[in-house]
Amino acid sequence: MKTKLSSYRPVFFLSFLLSLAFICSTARLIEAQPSSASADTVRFLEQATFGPSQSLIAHVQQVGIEAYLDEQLRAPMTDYPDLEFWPQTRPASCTGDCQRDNYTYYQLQRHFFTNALYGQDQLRQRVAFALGQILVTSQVDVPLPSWMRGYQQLLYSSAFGNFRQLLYDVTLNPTMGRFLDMLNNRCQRRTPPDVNVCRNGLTAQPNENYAREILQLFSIGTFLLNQDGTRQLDGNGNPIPTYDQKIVEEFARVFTGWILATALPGPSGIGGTVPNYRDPMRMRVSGGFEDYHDKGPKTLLNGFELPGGQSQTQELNVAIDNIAFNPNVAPFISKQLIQHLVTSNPSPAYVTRIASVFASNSNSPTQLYDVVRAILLDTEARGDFIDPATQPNYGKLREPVQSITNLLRAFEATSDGVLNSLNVGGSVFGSADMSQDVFNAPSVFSFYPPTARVPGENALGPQFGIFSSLTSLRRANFANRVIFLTIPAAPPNRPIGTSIDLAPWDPLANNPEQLIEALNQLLLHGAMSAEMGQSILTAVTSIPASPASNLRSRVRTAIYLIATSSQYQVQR
Amino acid sequence: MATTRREFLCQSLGAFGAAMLAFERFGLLNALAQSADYKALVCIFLNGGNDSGNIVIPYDDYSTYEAARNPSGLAIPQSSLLRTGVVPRIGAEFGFHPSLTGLHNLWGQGKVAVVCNVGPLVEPTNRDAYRNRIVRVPVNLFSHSDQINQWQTSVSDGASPSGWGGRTADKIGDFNTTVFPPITSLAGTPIFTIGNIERPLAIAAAPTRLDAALRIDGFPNPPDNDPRYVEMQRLLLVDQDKTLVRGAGRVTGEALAMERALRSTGDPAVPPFPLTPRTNLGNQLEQIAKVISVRNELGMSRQIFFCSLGGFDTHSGQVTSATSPTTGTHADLLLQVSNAMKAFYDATVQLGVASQVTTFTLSDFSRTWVPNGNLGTDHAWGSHQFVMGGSVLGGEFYGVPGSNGTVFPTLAANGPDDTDEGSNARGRWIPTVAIDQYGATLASWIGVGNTDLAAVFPNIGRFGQSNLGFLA
Repeated sequence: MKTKLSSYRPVFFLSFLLSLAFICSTARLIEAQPSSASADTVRFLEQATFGPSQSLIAHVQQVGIEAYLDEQLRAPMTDYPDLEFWPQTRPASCTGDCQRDNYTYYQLQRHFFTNALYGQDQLRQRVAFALGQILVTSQVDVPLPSWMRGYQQLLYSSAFGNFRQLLYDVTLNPTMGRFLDMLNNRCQRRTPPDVNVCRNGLTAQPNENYAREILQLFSIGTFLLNQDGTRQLDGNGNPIPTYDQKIVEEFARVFTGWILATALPGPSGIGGTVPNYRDPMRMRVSGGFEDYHDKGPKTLLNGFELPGGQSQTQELNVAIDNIAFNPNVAPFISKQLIQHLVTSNPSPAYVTRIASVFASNSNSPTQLYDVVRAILLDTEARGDFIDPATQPNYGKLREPVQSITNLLRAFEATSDGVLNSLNVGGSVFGSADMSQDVFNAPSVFSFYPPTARVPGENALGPQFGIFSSLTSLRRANFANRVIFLTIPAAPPNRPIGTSIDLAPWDPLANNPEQLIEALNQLLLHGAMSAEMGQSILTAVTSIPASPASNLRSRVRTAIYLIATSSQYQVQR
Repeated sequence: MATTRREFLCQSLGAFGAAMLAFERFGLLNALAQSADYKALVCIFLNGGNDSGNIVIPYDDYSTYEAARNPSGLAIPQSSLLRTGVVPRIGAEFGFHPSLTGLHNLWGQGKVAVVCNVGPLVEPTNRDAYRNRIVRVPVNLFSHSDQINQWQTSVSDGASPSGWGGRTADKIGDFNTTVFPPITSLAGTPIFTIGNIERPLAIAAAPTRLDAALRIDGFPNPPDNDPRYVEMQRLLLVDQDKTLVRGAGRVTGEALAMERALRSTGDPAVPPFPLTPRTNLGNQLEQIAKVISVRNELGMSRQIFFCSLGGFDTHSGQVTSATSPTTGTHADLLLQVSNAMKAFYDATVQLGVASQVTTFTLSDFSRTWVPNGNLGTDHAWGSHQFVMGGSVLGGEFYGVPGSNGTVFPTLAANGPDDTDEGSNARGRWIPTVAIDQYGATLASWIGVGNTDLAAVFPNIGRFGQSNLGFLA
């Protein structure tokens, strides 16, 4: 198999940051200047990428946010490694690297992180990661990485595409088919078979899994929504369900008859054939008719009548249209994308603006790009919208992956991408250890519930669903390891480890206020409060400036205190 | 006198500084709690929806079961069932799934009971009322996320910001003479564990040592004089005008305080753990047993624990094949559950607290009585749950009599307990026992008084019995 690690050469734009620090710092640490163009660039990159790097800040500062978004639409797509398809049961001869690469998610997860750290198509990746937490598949029921790879590629390639097309492609994707059991979902025919009669009492019934979750999670949700994302209410003030159990059963019948495409040849040296998790599922045809498909009439959303006797593909297209063009989709998907990128508690007006873009571009081949662009250029994402006096609930808790990648990208880290699961020096602090096991969510409900609240507060904070005493300290321990030490190389599975070079920062530590202000610009887009700055200054100046080796301790102390702070863990 | 948990929380809601000092008066110095006055509840959540239809199976009336499940290949053979003997309340014999050897053993000892046909309800409901829409039914029936929320909050007719484990902890926290949280989770912070006052402490499962089950790296021990540690704590107090920052600070602040508490516990051994081979649920229960073993040092008189196991959403491949129905995904999961629960019970015997610890299961829902075409089952409603412990009046079924006059539902698709109608009905039993009743029985046992019960289970008044009688 081929693996490709982006070659990486650290490029420091410290001078740029330094100039910011000089501009912004006065005799004392000053209050944040969130509306300044440079600060907003950094904040934009927190929302649109896996973290602002010094080089990317400089670039976007130069070209501007809108031009950067244009660039991102055209940027070549990063790939996952081209994994060979292996038999479901591992041949005894496949051990060591062969087993690691073909029967674990090691290479996929590693490339997820190297792509996030070094890929140029940052926005595409960030959106794909959000989509992957809405239209979920998981290693839980997809054991081979080659089977998952195609699904993740689909999310990459669809991240800027059309939502209806994405829903159709996801529906026929064999990995989704396996994960939610549309694969091999079948009606049970009487004997002798009758083309139009399918269900047969006590013998097995159509599988309801995909039908339920495509409605509940991938498209419309459980309640009728207003375009601003709030629930419609009936005369008694109660929310109104979008569908009932009967509708689920009807869609379950639509989604019958699909099987894996023709088997693929086995890997070189092994031979035989292996299940086809590369191509879309296909209709099963036997005896001249689609014998697994339930051809009876069905009633879909909004009372739409699907007449009996249509072909399986015809029915699927009509059913996907019935779902994808339901008015609930625009607010349901738009609000979640806002929550993944910008803020957990968007205003109804923000959701309305984005849902409108979603709906009016429903036939656009770049619908999702248009939506994401609107999300990021909205007045609620840019500019002055972060005043805690008027917007106390603004922002989102960084999820573990972003907590990791933001810190590493800020300091242009050198990394092999082995960051999902880490156990170093008796401590565990990978993403999975912080409850975000990449591509291995516990279920189709992903890592955290959208209803999770901020502890002790009456505000939504979905990512707080996986922020606990345990995972909070593991975030801090990751920061400790990277800032004060390194994640050492440990071949073969950790070929180079992960490290950051702080030498360029040492000279700045002679002037702690400038040091802190430069870090404020880089890590907190200039939003550090004076009180926070003072606290960090106290810790930094407790370390004497000499001998020269102390300068590094000052740098590390300042970075550690910011990176472990709630102010940094919350993207705001 | 030690700082109480309530004082600690009040401090930490406002200013962390004082709260951070609480651990000074905490822990090993605190021997006020008496082991004689100790009770703990242990919740095991089976994520995905456990198929009750294949865990407790009619032995005497096996043909009814066989007719429903054999055509789809899911029937567990009668000869492989672990026989219960005649269940007194039913007057008929049942059999446990053959994987449940540990629970069957404890059933025989009278330490395990089955609570039948439990589920979320807004008000008492039967088939006619359900089909004619003359009762309110739980929000979004048959959806994982909604039913999980309802199981964990006991509120089925709307959103709830807290769970009944957390609210029970709110009421029993004052039994403890310590700042250590009354509710500890080995599986994150699901809403079950969140109270109106209390917040859960999440720690790592075994084999992580108990004294490292929460740890912060990179500081001297003790860290009090390290300026970086001091300022790290001070930063938890600033920028309190930002809601999410404040919330994150709460979690981290408590983590830092309790990290120091746990660091002093050592790593007690609790035979018969570890299980061989180690299992996910076994590791969680082993760590719970360790925490229980240091209850006196921690100053605990009342504790609630949460752990969970996923994988029960068996839409396909629930059994290996029609010719091997006692193996496969569900059999493996049940084996893990049964072995871990048995080992945990045995550990509580060793610790001398078997009658002071009650373990119980919850799950999203049960699964369709009529399987689908993929050797699997889909989402249903009422389910059977296991309760285990020395105070359990075991060897018996509990519940509320339904359509057939017993606590066990009528196993008939399109029958008197099914939500579904017609020849393609799947068999989704309408619960006869509300979660509220199941939970209230457990909460009363650990010490929630009658006057507080409605605060923990706001809808308990809608249901006849608030105590199902399965605990002494």
